[in-house]
Amino acid sequence: MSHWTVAKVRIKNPSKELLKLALQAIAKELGASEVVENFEVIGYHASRVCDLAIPMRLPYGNGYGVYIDQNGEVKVVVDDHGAPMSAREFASKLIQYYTVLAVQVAAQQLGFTITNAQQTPQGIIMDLTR
Amino acid sequence: MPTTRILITKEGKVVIEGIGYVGDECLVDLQKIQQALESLGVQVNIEVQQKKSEAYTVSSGEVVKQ
Repeated sequence: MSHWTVAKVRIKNPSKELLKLALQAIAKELGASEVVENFEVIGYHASRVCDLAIPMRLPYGNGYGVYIDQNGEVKVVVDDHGAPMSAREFASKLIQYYTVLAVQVAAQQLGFTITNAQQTPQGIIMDLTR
Repeated sequence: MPTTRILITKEGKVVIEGIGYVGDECLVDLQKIQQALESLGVQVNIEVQQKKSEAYTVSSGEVVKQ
C-alpha cells in the first residue's frame, strides 16, 4: 500500500550554501548577474543589511535581499514597487527553489536516485527511487 | 522499483506520493526524507496523509487542487 501526503513547507535555520544557490537561480530569471553577501538593500526611506542579495536596479530600490533573523527565520527585503518580481513572488520562489535543492541533497544523503525531475504548471516534480 | 514522487508547488507546499511500495515502507521512506529535509532547514508540516488505493493513481495536478 502506498500513501500520499500533502504538507506545508517552511524554511528555518537554512544552509547558507543552498540559500545562495536558490538565489542564483532567481537571479538568473531576473536577468541579474550575481548574488552577493552582506549587501545593504535600499528602498524608499528604508534599508537593511542582508546576508545575501541580488543587486539590481529597481524603480525604488537596489535589489532583492534575504536575511536570517535571530529565530532562524528567512526574511526577504525588497522595495517591489514597480519591480519585475513582487516580494511575495520572490519569497515563494525562494522557498520552492530552496526545497528543490534540499530534496536533491537529501536524496543523495539517503542513497536515493533522482530518476525524473521536471517543471510542470503545478510546480517541480522529482522522483526519488531506491 | 519503489519511488517517492515529490511535487514542490509554487505555493510552498509539497505533495508526496509513494509509488510501487509494499506495506508501510512508503511511510518509512517518507520519514527518512522528512528528517533529512529538516536537517537542511526545510520543515515539512503534514496537513493530509492517507493510504492510496490504485484508484488514487492519478495526476499530481488533481491532488494539488485539494
